[in-house]
Amino acid sequence: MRDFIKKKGIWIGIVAIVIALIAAVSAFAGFSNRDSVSGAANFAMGPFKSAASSVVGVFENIYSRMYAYDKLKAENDELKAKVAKYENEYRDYMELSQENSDLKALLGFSESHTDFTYEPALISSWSASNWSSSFVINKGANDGVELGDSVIDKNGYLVGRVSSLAETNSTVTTVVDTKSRISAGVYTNTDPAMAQGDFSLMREGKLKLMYLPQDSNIAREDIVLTAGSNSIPEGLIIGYVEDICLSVSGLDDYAIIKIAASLNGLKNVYVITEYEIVG
Amino acid sequence: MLNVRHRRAVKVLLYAITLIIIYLLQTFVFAEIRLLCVKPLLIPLAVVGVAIFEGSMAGGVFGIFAGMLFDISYSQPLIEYTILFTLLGIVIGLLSDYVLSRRFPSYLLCCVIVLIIIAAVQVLGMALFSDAEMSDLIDVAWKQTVYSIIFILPLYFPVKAIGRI
Repeated sequence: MRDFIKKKGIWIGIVAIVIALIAAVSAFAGFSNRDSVSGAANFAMGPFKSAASSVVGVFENIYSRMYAYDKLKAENDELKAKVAKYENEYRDYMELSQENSDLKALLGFSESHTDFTYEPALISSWSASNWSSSFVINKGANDGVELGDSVIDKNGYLVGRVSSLAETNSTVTTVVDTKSRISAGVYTNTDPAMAQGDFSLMREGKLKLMYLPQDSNIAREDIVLTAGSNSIPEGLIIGYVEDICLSVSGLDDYAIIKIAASLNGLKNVYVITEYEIVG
Repeated sequence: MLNVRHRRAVKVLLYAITLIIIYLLQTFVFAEIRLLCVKPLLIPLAVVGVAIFEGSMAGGVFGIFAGMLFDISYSQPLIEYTILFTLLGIVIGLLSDYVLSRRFPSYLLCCVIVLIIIAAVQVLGMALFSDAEMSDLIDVAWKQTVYSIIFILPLYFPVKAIGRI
């Protein structure tokens, strides 16, 4: 015991003095409502606390970003799926809207031609030839289409006639093709003429009205209609007279017709599969 | 390394795929992209390429299928261009076997000649069977030939690459 006190006595004394001081200060703080010891300790630990707080903050930030990233990614995927779904629905809506608009236009035409039976068709492809004007549609013999059937657009304007037939598709030669020959007449004149394609006019969407009667009073802007036959209904609008070319003899007079149907961008057509022959 | 039979099978498959792609380009893509108001011809250039690099037999066989697709793209019966392209494939193949070198100048020369021949056949057909003015026909013919010439170089490389397998 004596040796222990000799060796460690001074340290015991120092510890005792420190404890006494702390007790004294605490007692003083208790009376004055001021916690100087804690304040001093806080002050001393301040830098370390700040450093630790910063480190913890970094890790918290990383964690929250990882957690938020997953959450954001999931939300983003969900929104992308919704956008894709709405885009599909919008596309369907636009197609239906266009089809509705086409059918409304056709309704106006069909009300004045109640004897017509139509087969709607889509144009699959246009001929790649520079020498003809024709296209393929997705309806054929299986759908009631026959050779020579007239093909119109949504407004009832004549586009062409079926020139080649297969089971599920057909080739339609347009009215401006050089092989096209249609008995036609001008609305204001009952005398028949012949609407036929011409190579030099084909690419401009025009054709010739040949064999004009000598005393015909044909004029610009006159409507040119089909005259009707066994294979083509009467009264289908082909186009409008754009120019009249008179010959000296009067035997070779012809008119240039601008077709009413717009072939550029044409997608939907209607094949007249049945109609009543008038007269 | 592929043996001879496998190499031949791979070549046939690649030529078939190339032909289908060229047909789709001619019928659905470049039929809508007109230059000088005309559409280009791509399929005949492929026939020339195969005939130059593979010879008369392959050129003739390729010409049959290429001609059929060409007739389909023109919405007409499988006769006119099926026969024409078969003959062109055989003749160019024979020239390539005995006379011409299998290089770009020969390919270019044969393509231009073939395009002119096709245009001439088309003009003659229209002149005989329609009332078209010759000046209008020739106008379309030269524009079609010029537009098609643009595609000679782009088609040369894939056909040459397949020919070298």
